Amino acid sequence: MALNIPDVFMTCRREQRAAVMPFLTSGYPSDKMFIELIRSMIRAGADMIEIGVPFSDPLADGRSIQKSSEAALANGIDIDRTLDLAREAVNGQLAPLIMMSYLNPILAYGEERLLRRMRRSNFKGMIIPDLIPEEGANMEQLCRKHEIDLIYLLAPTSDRKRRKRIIRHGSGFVYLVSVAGVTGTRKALPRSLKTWIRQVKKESALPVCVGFGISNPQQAREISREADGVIVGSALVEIIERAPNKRRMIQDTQSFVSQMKTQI
Amino acid sequence: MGQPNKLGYFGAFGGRFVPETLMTALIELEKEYKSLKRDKSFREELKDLLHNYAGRPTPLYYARRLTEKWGGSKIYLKREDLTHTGAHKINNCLGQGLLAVRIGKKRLIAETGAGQHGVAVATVACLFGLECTIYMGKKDMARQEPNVKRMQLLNAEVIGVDSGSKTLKDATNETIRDWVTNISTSHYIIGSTVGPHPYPMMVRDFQAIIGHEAKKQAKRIIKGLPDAIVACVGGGSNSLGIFYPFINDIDVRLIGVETSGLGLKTQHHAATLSRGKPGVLHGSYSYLLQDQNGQVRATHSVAAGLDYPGVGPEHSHLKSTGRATYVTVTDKQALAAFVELSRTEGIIPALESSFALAYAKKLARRMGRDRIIIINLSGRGDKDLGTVQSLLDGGGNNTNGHGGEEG
Repeated sequence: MALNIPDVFMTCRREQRAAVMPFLTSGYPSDKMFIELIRSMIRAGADMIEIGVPFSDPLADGRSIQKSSEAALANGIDIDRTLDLAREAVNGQLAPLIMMSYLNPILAYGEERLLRRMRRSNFKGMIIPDLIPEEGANMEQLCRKHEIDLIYLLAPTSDRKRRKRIIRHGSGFVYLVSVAGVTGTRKALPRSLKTWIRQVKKESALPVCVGFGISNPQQAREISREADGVIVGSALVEIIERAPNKRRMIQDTQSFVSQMKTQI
Repeated sequence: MGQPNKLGYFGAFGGRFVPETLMTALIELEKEYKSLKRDKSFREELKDLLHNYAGRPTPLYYARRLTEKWGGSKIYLKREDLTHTGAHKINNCLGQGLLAVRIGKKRLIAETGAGQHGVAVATVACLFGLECTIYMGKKDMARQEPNVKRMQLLNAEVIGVDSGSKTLKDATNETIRDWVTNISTSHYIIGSTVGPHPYPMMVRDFQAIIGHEAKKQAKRIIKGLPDAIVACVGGGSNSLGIFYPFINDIDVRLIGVETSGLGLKTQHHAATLSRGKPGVLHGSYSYLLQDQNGQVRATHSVAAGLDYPGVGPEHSHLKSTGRATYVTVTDKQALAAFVELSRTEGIIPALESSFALAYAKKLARRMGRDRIIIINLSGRGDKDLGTVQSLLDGGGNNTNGHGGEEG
């Protein structure tokens, strides 16, 4: 049985480091490789893994994750297969999984039906990029009932009142969006990011993890000095996309994650 | 009926389902809009522009020859095709453009399907001296080419969208991505009564001038109210615009016409209210064409402006309360109506509006002679000549309007 999300942060705090959280699109580039990639990331020391359920209209995502989502949908990936594949991949592992899905596939599947099945596949948290706390009351209640952490996103544009609301209503951790924009790699992160993370950390009782635009282990290192966790998505999807063969795909993603791990 | 609740719901539909990055701006927009709505100088400035720039009020025209030809109820056309830029879209764009200037935005962004909304946004960007970027599906750029050229002439940057079905839905995704990235400088003029609160309410309010005028004109010309109002529904702005002032006049039937494309039995339609299920797309909870996994379906319509899998939340509400009814018309029937109005009255309608015409024809015969129907002629058809010509040339005798169904 996987650890719960708060346990992961407790371990990290004890080891005086930030948590490493890579992202994978479910069923990308294939069912089999997806399973291999999860396992290799756990071997490389990933503390948690975020798994994206593909959606036809991912409006918070940039080019790389749009493409991986399209490919996964073309492979016939849905929520049931995501749960099955995850279960197969993480059998007996400690690292918890976090599901990322836009709201509509969750509504179509049935919120409670999904939440009831998540823990069996090591999913301990849920990120819904188009759900804000004002609309989240029902989901929060169901998540509590089924012991799934509902992780809200907090943006650079969120004012103090909204930050308070997000911190109060969320659980697990606060997903701090590094820049106003969609997911995707960026050469440089905003200079104000450090102060911004510090500010949110001061206000938050929950751990604060930073995502969007983190492209390499050096950037991850900088952020890890302030944050409780670092999330990397598009950069990994691009490595997977570029890999000339399956062996290299595993090698390159694994070495990216272990570099992150040693840097932070 | 009327105003959405505090969270932007019309009954069970609406709300705000957006990335957090947009929320502060949406709350700000709602606040600004509510205060400007009561601001006399804003209202006067908009009124002046609608009159002197856009050419309002548009006539309520009695289509005598069409009425005689159809042999049923009296047909009146609300001539939105006569507005500057050629469609009702300008009503909303002037309102939101002024709003953007008042809140200090330097750049307008928008999605467009048929290109009418894009042209209207590009137009007000020139008028107010703002930068402008328009997203348009590549499929729509090909079939509505004259509008692409108009937008470019008006100095708008037109970005072709290559993802998904390359139509309005995908153009909307891309505009939202731009907005999330440039939220501090840019105002997104959503073109229909869709999107997160306050857009469905705000767009409806700016379009309600159509219905307010029609009501006043009807009282003057026909000494009363019409028996029915018929309008096409894509996202739903021209229809809500004309319906809204009649919502409490319960003897007036309100009929929205969706596109059943190649037929409701095929997957090639965009009849959201007739065939969809409630879900979340582009910021609100409303009827949506989707598969069993909640993935949004590809749509089809000969009219690019109706080729959209979603619909405004207030329409979903009007459907659930039964205040409005929603029916469908096929591409073929609409095309026949397009030709018929052109040749009977010398008015070339937009393909979108032709869906309303095609249904009104059936309704006029059923309702009989002593009744009055207003059709919202939402736009003119110059943009569609290429599409229509190739269909008429290639598709054989399509102009008789056979077959079809209604939902």
